Amino acid sequence: MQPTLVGTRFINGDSTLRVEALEVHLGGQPVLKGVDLTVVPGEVVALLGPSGSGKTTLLRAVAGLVRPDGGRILLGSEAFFDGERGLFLPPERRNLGLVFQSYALWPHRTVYENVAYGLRLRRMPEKEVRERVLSLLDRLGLTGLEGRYPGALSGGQQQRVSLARALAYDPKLLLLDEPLSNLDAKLRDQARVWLRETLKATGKAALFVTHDQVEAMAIADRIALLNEGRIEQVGTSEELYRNPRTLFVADFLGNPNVVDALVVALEGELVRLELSGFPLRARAMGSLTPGRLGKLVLRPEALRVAGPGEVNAVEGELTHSLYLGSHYEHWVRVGEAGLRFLSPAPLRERRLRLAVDPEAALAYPA
Amino acid sequence: MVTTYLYRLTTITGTTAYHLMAALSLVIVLIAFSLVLLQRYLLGRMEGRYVAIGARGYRTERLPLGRLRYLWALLLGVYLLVAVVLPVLGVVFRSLVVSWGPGIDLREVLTLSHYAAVFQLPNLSRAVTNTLVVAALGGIAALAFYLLIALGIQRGRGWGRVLDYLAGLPRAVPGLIMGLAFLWLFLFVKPLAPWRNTLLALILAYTVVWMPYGVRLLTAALLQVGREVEEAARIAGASPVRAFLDGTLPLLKGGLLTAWFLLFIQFVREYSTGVYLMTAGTEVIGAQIVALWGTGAVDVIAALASLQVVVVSLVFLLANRLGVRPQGL
Repeated sequence: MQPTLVGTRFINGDSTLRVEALEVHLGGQPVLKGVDLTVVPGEVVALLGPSGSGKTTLLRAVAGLVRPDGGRILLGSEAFFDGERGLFLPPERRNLGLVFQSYALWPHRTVYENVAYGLRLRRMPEKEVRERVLSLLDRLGLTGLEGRYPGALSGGQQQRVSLARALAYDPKLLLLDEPLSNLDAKLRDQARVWLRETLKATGKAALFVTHDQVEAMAIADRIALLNEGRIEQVGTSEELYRNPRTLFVADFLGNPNVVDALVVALEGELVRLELSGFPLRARAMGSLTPGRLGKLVLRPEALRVAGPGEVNAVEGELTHSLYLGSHYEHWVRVGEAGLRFLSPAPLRERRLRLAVDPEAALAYPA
Repeated sequence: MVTTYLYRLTTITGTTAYHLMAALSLVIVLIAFSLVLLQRYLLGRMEGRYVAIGARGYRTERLPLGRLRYLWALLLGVYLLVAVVLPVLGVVFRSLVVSWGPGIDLREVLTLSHYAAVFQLPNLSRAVTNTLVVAALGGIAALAFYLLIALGIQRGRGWGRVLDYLAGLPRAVPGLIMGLAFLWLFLFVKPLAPWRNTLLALILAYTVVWMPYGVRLLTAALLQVGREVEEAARIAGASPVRAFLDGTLPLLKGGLLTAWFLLFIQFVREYSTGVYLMTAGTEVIGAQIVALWGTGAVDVIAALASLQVVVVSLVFLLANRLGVRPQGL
């Protein structure tokens, strides 16, 4: 029997999502190679990563649309999947909400019927269904559209109907697959704020997939960054941006400069490097070996034109200056390496010295 | 053609050459099966590549032909006239005259008596109603069966491929042989014997003969409906069957209707399968024409054939009226 809505509230005690050592193969190829992830009640977590990293597969495995090959998925004390016990709960018994990338609204049903579907399946009295659906539509700014068919709605409205449909039967966990990717750029900026507020207002845990780092940072409490079927790092956006554990994380967030530099000596937390003949100090982000090449990550916003007497700087030739409205973007050639940085005003000099704080420069083993 | 050759093996020579027919049909089955394998190999896997109706609908583009369009229209017109209109008119005309040839006055030979004969002779009028029943109801039964197979092909993973080959196999068997095979089946398998004298025997044989065609229509229709509408229903709490009925089936309605019309037309036109299966009481137009040809009853044949053309045309018009666009015809 389906759990009733009243029932779920009583057994709602602990509903932490735990994914443990999850493995998924699709068409013989390993897509997830041992993924661990925890989402606590009320938390919004983003699955971020390049295409092919397995983020959508992870979401579909939690939803029950993909059958994993090993590991466990638990929501509270309820096991959704347990590889050892051979247990697999089909999607209809997981009581989750899912917003599809394409929204996947049923085109032959009205907005009202789309949202009411899950409630009617749970045999809720029609009067309560009506109350619930209408109040939900009202909360999501869809009042008056209940009689329309999805084809007659804008992209933004369809997205909200899809969210309403997923929320209708009060799921413990909300899953969203690239929720904003079908909106045009301008709408997306507003939708980000709206989605964050709406998700937080429901008080539900939410797991959403995105390939857009800005979207992940804006909406999520924590980000899980995936790469080739593994989680590289999980943390708040600030943790990931400031203390990227691997070169992949540092490179993926914020489109930084990544250049080769020779490791000269280790100085505790810092490392001395040489970039095209210029000495530089940076944070050591892994086991670096003097005499070997390392990867130096310099974020454009960490670079500035050096004042007189400023140390920890490199010198180079200005090759391009682009006016981008709110700021200028400059490209500077330092030996073999090209460095990109930003400034509010145009630059006059052709030869420049660029300074960086040692704490803001990150050095990784190559 | 092999089919007609096989038919002659028995009728013209007068000897029963069932053993030859069986051997020959097995060879044909083998050849066609290897061709089916080749086709599969060349097409590769189609899943996902032809999804057209997601949740957002689709649109087709017109190809502008420019000034050449009049030339194309003319060529097509001439082709249709020669290949379709003239032969059909000939048959219809023949059904309305007593005899024809040079120097005959049309006013004297014009008659409706052939049609009267069709509706007076019980075996002929039965052929007309039986054909309609087999095409309409049999079409529905066959469709339901094809739908299950198409679903199995789409979702059965490894088994789906096996099913795909099996469903394509009847393509290799001429209708005449399939009719014969079913005749033997009903004769020699005792529990089935009572069905032999019913239309079910015909419907069963037709269903098998047209399986490759029908399954193809339905897999094409299924490919047009994205899987997400069904997944969304599962997530909302529907069982797999419920999710299919609520999510995919309503979007499949157009495709099913189209398939039914196309199948109806094929079932009305089908002649070879019924030749051996036909019994007193289960006559159908197509097979009846073949049987009558031996007796030389050209008048009645022309009338029956004209009725066939009328039925198919009416159904075709109705289908078009209902917005069915037959693409696979």
